[in-house]
Amino acid sequence: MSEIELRGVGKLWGDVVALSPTNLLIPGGSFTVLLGPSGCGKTTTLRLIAGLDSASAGQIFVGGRDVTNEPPSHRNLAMVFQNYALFPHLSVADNIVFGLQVRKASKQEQSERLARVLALLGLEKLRDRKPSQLSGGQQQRVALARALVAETKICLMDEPLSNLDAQLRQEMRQELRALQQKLGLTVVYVTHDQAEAMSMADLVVLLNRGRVEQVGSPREIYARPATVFAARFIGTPPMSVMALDGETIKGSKFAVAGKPSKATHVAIRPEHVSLDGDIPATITASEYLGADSLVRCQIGSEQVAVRITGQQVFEPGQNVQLAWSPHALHYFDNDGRRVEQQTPT
Amino acid sequence: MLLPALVLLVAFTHYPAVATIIDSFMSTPKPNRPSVFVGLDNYASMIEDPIFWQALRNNLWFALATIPLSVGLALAMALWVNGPMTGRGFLRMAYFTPTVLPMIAVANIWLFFYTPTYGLLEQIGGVFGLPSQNWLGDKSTALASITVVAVWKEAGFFMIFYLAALQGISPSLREAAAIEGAGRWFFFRRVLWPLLMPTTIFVLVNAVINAFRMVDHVVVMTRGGPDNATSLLLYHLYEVGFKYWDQGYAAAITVVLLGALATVALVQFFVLDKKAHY
Repeated sequence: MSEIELRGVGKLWGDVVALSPTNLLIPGGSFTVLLGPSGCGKTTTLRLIAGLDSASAGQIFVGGRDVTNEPPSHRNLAMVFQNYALFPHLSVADNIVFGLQVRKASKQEQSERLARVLALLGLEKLRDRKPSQLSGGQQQRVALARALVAETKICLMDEPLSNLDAQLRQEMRQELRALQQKLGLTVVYVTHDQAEAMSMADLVVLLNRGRVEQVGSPREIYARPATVFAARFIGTPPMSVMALDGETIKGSKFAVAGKPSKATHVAIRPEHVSLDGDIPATITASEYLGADSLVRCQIGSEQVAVRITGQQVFEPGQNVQLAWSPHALHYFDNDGRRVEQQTPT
Repeated sequence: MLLPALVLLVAFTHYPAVATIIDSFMSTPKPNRPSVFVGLDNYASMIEDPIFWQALRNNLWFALATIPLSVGLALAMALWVNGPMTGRGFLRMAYFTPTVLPMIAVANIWLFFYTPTYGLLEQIGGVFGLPSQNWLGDKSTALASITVVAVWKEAGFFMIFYLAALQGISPSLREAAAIEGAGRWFFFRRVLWPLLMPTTIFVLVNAVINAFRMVDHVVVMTRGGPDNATSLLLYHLYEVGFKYWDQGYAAAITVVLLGALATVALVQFFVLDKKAHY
């Protein structure tokens, strides 16, 4: 009963398209991440779902109910803001029960729910503090508590972890995910950090320039990127995308066997390339990362990244012979769409 | 490094203040009779001076009306022009215009509004068949007329402070409240008003000081008349000091005025400050 559906939803700011008409189904009880670079329309999408902005076109359904013209408070959802949006003059407890007071919940219900959510997030000792007396991570928890106390089934989160340091972010990721599963929440989570998306999401919605590039589980998106953008965005480092010149990699004499006829680009993940083959390449840079190293090589005019174990040492300018399995290659056509490999019969 | 500022402060602020207090215990010097110590004589004649009491009473009414009216109006205008709407830049400017005008000019504009028979109010009133009214010449309306001018002049100035404070409040607070379903009034009462408290204190202190300090429009519009109906403390002080040249008595009035103002300001800071969130 807590699924969210967008039907042809678009948003214009004057002449600027913030979101092209989009169809999207966010299943109830899922952790769905809206992922993309800044300006891709992910926050716009979230704000449209929340009702903070109104859609220029299309309909929005929450739990099967058309809420397109409903104010935010009638959509039965909670939201965590990027800057937390805590009321600076109210104590932690007052911040959390703010919404309950608006809805005129009884004193007893307020204190019961408050106690429950304080315990859930381990905030009992901070209940009388003001937001300015809290650390970033604690403020984040209070914001989360304020969203959870409403006990709605849907929680929208706008880059909630982006103001935290890396260590805390890691911890909060796991905790958020655990909370979501424990409470059976539908979470719509906006982030530009693909590692965050991959580690938390059931479903990733990859956006670029106001359009949905791909919708799928993290594994699907990683294994089978639907577009060149998805290939270049997902993964640290992402796939190396090489332009083709007819049958060969541009600027080289190396012909890619089994290339689909429509393909104009070929891509491969760094971990699928090794240094024990027959594809001539020149090393341009090498980056030591501890457990492994990332070596950037040049084939013709195109760059390809290679992930190797950390012990090996390479110098720029060195010539190497690369190898990859034809099955590890991804092909894209001139429009950036994925082209499936012909399976050899 | 502090010396230049210190010299100026002492010369033009601290020394005159102390000198005034001393003068208030002395008689007024005359060409043939130098100033002598008279103790509390000046204060005694103040208590017996009916015009002083009238001016004080007038001033209290004036303050009681201008302070809440101008501050309330300022807040209302700021809330309004803070919202999204077309032409709000023009509106903000329009509201601020009275502040830019010198008080003398303001008084002259309003003098025209209030003028009997051909003033603006008379002409508008005439259209609706209202009886002619000499706003500034009638003892029962003169003080109220003066008050309106002061409110008109002050509200725009205070609005700027409120507007600045409102702009400093993160818009996501309003959105967070909207998600919770808080209406305008609830949001104002629980969030905006407490967050505006420091501004309100600042504006209130200024409003109180201005209420006892404003005299320009009285000079231009009524000269304290009719029958001292619009004589405010400072105007009375000016008359005593520079028209009747009773400098000792004028110094005594000044001391009382300053003392009252300082008390009010301190009370505001210490009582309201506890309720404010910074």
